[in-house]
Amino acid sequence: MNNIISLRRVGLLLCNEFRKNGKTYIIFISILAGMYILAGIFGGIVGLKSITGTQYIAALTVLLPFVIYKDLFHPVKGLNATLLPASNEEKYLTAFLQCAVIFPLGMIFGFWLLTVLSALLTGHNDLIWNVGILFVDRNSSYGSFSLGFFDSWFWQIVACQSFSLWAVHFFKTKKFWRAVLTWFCICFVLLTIGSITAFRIIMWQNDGMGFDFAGSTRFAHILHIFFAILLPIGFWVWGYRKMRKQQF
Amino acid sequence: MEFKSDKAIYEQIAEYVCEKVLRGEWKDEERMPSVREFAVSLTVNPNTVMRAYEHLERHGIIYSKRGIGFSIGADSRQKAAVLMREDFLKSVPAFVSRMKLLGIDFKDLERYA
Amino acid sequence: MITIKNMSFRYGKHRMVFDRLNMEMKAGYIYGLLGENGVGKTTLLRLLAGLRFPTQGSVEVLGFTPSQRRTEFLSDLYYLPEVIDVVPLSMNEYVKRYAPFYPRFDYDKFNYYLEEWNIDPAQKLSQSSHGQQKKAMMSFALACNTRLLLLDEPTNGMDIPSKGIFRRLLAQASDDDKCFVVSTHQVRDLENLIDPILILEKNQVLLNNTVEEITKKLWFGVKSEKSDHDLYREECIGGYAVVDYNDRHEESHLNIEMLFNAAIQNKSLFKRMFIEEQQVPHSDFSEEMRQKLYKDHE
Repeated sequence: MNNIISLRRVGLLLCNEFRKNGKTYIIFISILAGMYILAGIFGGIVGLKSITGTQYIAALTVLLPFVIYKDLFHPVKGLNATLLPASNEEKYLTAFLQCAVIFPLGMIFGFWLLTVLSALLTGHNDLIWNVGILFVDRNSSYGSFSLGFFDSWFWQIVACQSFSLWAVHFFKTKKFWRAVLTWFCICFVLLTIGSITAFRIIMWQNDGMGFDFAGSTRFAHILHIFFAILLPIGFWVWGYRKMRKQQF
Repeated sequence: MEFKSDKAIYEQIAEYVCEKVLRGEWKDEERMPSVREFAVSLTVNPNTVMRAYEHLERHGIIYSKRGIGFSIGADSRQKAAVLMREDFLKSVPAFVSRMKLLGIDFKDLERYA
Repeated sequence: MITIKNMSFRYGKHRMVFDRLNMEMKAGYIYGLLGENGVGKTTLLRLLAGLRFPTQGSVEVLGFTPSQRRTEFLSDLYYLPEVIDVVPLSMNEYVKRYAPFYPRFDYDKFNYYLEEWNIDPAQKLSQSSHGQQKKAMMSFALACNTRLLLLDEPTNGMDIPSKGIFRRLLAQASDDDKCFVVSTHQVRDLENLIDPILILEKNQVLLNNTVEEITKKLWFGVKSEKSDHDLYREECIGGYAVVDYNDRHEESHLNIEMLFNAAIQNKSLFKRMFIEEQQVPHSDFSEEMRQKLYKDHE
């Protein structure tokens, strides 16, 4: 296993990614900080409280792979990355760590710091972002059937990102638009199945709310596990397998 | 190095060595550059230099010793002259036929001696 | 070092590029890869680098299958494409990021190459001229010290003095355990350096032989008169510059451009002479040539 994945090389790859994408990250956090500051200036404490950061961070997290891996498998710009002496496994692990772990956690931490600062400046301690709830299951309507962490906001945005990470490895060019098209096709297919379950699933996916029927039906459980765990893992694995077969 | 287009490169390299020997610039028992060093200085493929060295070795102008490389052999000036003479004489028929074409007599050549 | 067995490659369903190709390339040589536009030179290099996978048959490089993209394979190979990805990095930054992945990277040699070509290691590639970019990336490629180096049109865009420097540095960098494959149209830039010579044609290899083997079978020079068995002929001062069958058993100076033209004009003959190594009997030669000339001109 140490021939295929060397922590030193993964570390090198991650360092390179940060050097390459550092500017992008700074821009992202600056926009959020800018919004926050402006809200504070024009809206006072109420304004500050209105910026939750979750939507912004969720959107960025899901879109991140398209920004960072735009040139992956490009016949000119993608050469260096594919020919760099590191295994496919190391490269994919780096992509996963960067996109699904380091970036979202980093953004969360950054915004949290911002809220701490504003709390210190204004004296309103309730401004501090409650980061803990991001990592536990969000909805009491799951009732007894809760998947714990896998029902949390954090896992949900990372799970949505798995689609983007897959798309970035599956498509060689025009990744974003092809992903959007694929997404629409999937939605269309699900809609035409026409079952209320399918419709409810899409609603669940779109506004992040739990099923509104109690987790009592087996079918609901199965779907729940499918979308919460199996699907993202499936996308991650599919992306890895497709990466190994990409020619350009 | 610039090469002429009329002869195989390895032969021209061998000639180059012979000239150096004939002019006394490279003396008997002196170490020659290695195949690779020589190839780099002439910017030619090492295979070509190897063939030149083999050609010279066959004519006794240089010899090789394991671990040491190539050196100029004994009596190198004599042998180099023999080799170059053979080669020079090959170009004479063409020269002579050109003379005849232009109506030049051998007597006219005397002033160049 | 490189073994290609019965390899076929197609783009899509109908664009066949290689058809059951068989070829070997060995260490210690600088191969010149020649061929007309679109014949597959870049595709071959990409197959060797593992960027493209054969449709059939096998490609084995350094003991590995390139398409698997193993780390040990990638760290012993460098592919410098014709069109370079121009990054907004200086060579100092570039080396810091990527050299650690190449275990045999030679920092001293890298600085030496930059000096020879007068490249400022602090200047961003995106702010340098095309020629400077090429030379900078070439310096990196050579300094990686990989056993296999694939160069696609290396001298394209280089000014004249730089080409001379390139010849010298390439000759210096070559070694008994290294293999260089240089694909080029500018054969004069690499004359005398490339040996063996590989000529690719549509779907096939016409020639994969050393200069010695070629000049033993073919004669290059100037003749005062035409002859029926000239493989290729151009008018010049003094008569005709020809490529002819070498029946005088003397070795002439190989003229790569003439060789190429002769190969293109006598494709199946070259294939038989050099790839299949059939003895082409001289007596039948002129008759065959006449037939060949008629067939090729149809």
